[in-house]
Amino acid sequence: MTTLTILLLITLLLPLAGFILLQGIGQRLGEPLAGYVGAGTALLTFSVSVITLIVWIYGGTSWGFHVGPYVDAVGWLPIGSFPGQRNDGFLDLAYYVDSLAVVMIAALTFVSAIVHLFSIAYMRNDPRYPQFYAYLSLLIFAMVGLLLSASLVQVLIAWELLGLCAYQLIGFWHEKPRARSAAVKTFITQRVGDVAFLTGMGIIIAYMGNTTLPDLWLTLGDPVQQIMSPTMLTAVGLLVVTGAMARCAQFPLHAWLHDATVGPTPVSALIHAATLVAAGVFVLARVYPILTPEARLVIVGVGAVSLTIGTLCAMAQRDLKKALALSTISQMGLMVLAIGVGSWIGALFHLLTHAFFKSLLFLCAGTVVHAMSRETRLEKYGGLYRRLPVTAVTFAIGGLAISGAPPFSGAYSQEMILAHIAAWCTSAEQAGRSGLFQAALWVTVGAVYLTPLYMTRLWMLTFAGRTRDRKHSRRATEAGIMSFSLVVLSGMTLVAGYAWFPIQAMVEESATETRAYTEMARIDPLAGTWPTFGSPAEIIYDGAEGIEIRQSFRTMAEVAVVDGLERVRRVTAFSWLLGIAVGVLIYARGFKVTNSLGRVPVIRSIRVALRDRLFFDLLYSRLIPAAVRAVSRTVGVVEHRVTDPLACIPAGGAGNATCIGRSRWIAAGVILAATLLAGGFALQWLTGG
Amino acid sequence: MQLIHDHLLITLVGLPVVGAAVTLCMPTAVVARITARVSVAVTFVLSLLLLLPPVFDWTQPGIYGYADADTVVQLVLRWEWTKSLRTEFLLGVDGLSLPMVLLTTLLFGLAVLASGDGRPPARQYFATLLLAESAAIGTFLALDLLLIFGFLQATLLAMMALIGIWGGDRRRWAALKFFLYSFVSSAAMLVGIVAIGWGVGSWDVIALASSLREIASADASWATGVFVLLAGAFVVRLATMPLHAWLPDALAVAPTPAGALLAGLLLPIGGYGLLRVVMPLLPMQAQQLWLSTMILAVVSVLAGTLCAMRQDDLKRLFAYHAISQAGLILLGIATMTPAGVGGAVCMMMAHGLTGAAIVFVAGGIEQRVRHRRIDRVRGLVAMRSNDARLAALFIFAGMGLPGMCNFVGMLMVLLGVFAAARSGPLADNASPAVFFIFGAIASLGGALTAALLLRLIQRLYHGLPRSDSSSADSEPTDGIPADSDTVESFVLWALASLVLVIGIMPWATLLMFSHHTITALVKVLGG
Repeated sequence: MTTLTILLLITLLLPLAGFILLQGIGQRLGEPLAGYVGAGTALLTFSVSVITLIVWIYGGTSWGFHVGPYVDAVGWLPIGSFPGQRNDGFLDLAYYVDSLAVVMIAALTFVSAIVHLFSIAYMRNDPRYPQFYAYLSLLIFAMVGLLLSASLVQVLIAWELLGLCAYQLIGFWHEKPRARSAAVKTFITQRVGDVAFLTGMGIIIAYMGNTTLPDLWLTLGDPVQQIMSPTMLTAVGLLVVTGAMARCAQFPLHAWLHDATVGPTPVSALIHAATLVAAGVFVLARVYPILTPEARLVIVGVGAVSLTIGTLCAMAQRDLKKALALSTISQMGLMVLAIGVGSWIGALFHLLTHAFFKSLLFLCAGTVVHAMSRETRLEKYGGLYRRLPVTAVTFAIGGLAISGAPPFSGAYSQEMILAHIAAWCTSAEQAGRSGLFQAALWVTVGAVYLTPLYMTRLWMLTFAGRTRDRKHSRRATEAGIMSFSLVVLSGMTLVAGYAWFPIQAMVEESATETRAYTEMARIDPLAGTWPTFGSPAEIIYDGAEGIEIRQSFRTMAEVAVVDGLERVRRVTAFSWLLGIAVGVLIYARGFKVTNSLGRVPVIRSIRVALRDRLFFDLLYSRLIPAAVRAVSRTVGVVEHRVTDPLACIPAGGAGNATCIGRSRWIAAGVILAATLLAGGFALQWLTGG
Repeated sequence: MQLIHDHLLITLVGLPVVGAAVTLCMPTAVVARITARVSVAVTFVLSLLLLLPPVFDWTQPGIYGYADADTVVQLVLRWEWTKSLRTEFLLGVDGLSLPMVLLTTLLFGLAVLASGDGRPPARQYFATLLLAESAAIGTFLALDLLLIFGFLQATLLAMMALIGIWGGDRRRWAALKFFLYSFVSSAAMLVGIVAIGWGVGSWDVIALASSLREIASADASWATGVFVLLAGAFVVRLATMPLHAWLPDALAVAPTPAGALLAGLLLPIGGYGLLRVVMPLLPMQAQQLWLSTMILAVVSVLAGTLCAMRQDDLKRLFAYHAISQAGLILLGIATMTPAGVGGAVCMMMAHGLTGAAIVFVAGGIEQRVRHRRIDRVRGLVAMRSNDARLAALFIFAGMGLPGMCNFVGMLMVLLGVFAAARSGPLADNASPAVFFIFGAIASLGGALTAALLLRLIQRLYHGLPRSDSSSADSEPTDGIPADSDTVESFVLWALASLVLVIGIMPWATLLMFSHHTITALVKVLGG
């Protein structure tokens, strides 16, 4: 046991202990006390994770920042031996601790501690207050477990636990029918993703006998070994990724995310920013080395579509929380797209900054919703700046960060992703592929233009202008503990992007380490742009020719990145200002301008389509359940008419009544025969036959 | 120690019979219940002795076993029985029967505990339960084909009596249906057994595994016929589609403790029989018929859940859910890989615990609201939140959520299906893609089950309570009611702790004991 393992174990088990404690005696602790226990556990977990971070930075002999990852595996389930298997017939549970995991745990526990604090005020007077804290603690346990896990089985376990917590928390107010259906929708979407994930994992096990990540990277990421055909590898990669897509709400498994906002707002802050959706991107990054170029192209497509859908639909939402949820879909789309083009660092850097500013935005929304007696519709808001000044300012900070305004953290990560996408396009062009690839860039840039617009819309409609609902807003106040949480989070939103803050450096180091495992030797311009961006990487490939190819390649990629960064900066340096300016102009007078625009028939139908989120809800809430019901009805009829009457066949009867009549005699005969048989045996035994 | 070695198994089989006789002689039902409780408690404690390394040492090879694999059977007890038929009274315990015996003693213990003093002829009821326990333990310990058959028939007759005499509405019809299915399957089994026994001249399941091989390969059609008869007989016990129709009716009307035994014990008996008798005796036939077995299993997994979605009767819904779980057991056995067979063993144990627990939960609800109609219950969480939380735990376990034993079983079975594509005896039979598609379809069952059970939780527990469902202390109308809230909570807590412990540490609590046996079994199957 090293110091590191002890610290990590404490980080993992403290939230679990909190869950057990709150489940056991939570009701007896009662309202404020259960909350203090929950928040105390969360704060303690955060402190331990900060100590872990410090220990990690100073490092041990074989692990630490600038030293290397800490890997450990234990056998869990006997599944028999396989050809080419590295272990002794056991399915492993494994831990892979690198800079990324450590920094992610610190960030996650920070956000969760803030959310716990915030909830003390938000959930006041709720009859199931202790339950709420119990499931929050379980959520943290599952998420820390996921961040430490280094085998696909563990990922599945952590995902399922996260799904359970999401189900319980989204459906927390289960008296509301909408909360119940949203909770089910969330869980089932995750399960559908898990079906794909499990299939992919099963195929990997059939070929390798294990699922630990280092094994995966070494074996599947290596084109020389070729243990499965490239087509199969692409299929496996896509199947595994589908599970991650269900988590980070990517098209077409995205429809649960905006429904999930019916849960308590602190839950949305946690699920939509730091836990469930982050779990998807994190796993995507972990399995990145096994993804073939073809699989990555699909991922780019999925990310681009989700980015577009999310951004466009966020423009037209009438509900503050739904708009923020759709903005999460679009931001997750950006990260997924980034992973697809090979911007591993950019995606994870953005994941971390996004965790801060999106949870800030959701908690601001929570303050507003709380102050307005749980009202979430934008048309009831307006002019809240005077009532909720701290919220208005912090919301603006979050909005600027997500828009990519320079001093805030979002700008740095977004810029990195954009530069990498530009470089990706350049290298694709140099390799003679173009057209489609350029489209990804333009989609992204378009979304970057639109993000400040919809954020300004939300801010203007909520805080600026005149008051639209005097009755509620007159009583609107912000509780002290809520304002405190918001201020702390906006502080993090400010500093998280700076180079002197260790986040970026640690993500970069993890990228280098992951690459060192894999050798990514595929001769493909799309493959080569991976983690080399921004980090001087050593060459580890065998053979003079390989080195030469890679070196020229790397130089090419680095030049492309620098070039891309310049191009992107020219655009994004002021695009956010433009977006905000347009937003202020349109929404300065509330809904007036948009409503008059909406009278034009074409614009009206577009607006309705976007407001109803392109009718995907119809598909998931009506069509698919109806189809399952229809199949179930058919099976039930077959069961009732065909299989069930089979019981009568031995009796020779047709209907149930005659069946009973005739079979009574047969039954009597059979019992007689059985008795005779048993008696005969007994007799034979007694006489010593 | 030698005393234990020589007499433990026969004591386990015989003690409940003695208990039954004593129970019948007791003057009143209350005293009879006490003797029955003492009897099951002593049997359970004695069966726990099997977990001690000096008694059953899982690290060491046993003293008896398959010819071309490690020996695995321990504590062998062999008495000569009929000379002319060359049958023996042959008992032994290995990694396959050990968990099943413990499950039996545990579930019967809980069933007797949960059986209250509701009805006057309680003496006979307890005696029947005890006889069923003895027969069930015997089924799992016996290693002689005729002995297995005899014990199994006794178990079935005792269960039929429990359904037909102490059941609820329409108990005659349910008992009859149960009997018809048992009769046809037993007749098929008897024909198969006799065909083997007379052909080879031995009834010893372990020895037959090697001596039957030449005969089976010489006469393939005969062997296929015997395989179909025997496998069919045990698949009826496993209640996979389309041979399942006895289970929903029987489970719905049986008194709750007997229902728990039906779901938790009779289904695993089917899986046990397949692993003990059918697969090692006729592995070549199992390999030939793998496709139809797998299709049956996958159909059962999906159609069981789909049928369950349409049920309004709580216990019938759980019966169909049990059918889909049984499909997973069959699927694991059909893969003939270590992961699949281990998963099937794990799944039998897991379903034994959660299936029984879920029936106890349903019985508790039935007792309080006096009916089983899901559409007439709502908001039960408001009634007793502790019970609701435990019930949710079992329902989530049935969904295969990690941390609980069903997840381990499901995961291993599915991994077994995928593993069969590249290793094991089936790998050459078809292209890997076929197995991958089977695995994908079977894991789709996980999503369907989640849809079914989440809806169920919401229909039962969530929402605002109905005004008429809060009549908590009314008299139950039928069935043997649970004794009291304390007894019911004890039963559920006992099962819940096992579900969690096995789910978190499957190796140390279950798979460790079975490991050698499963390895030897897979070797016999040709892996």
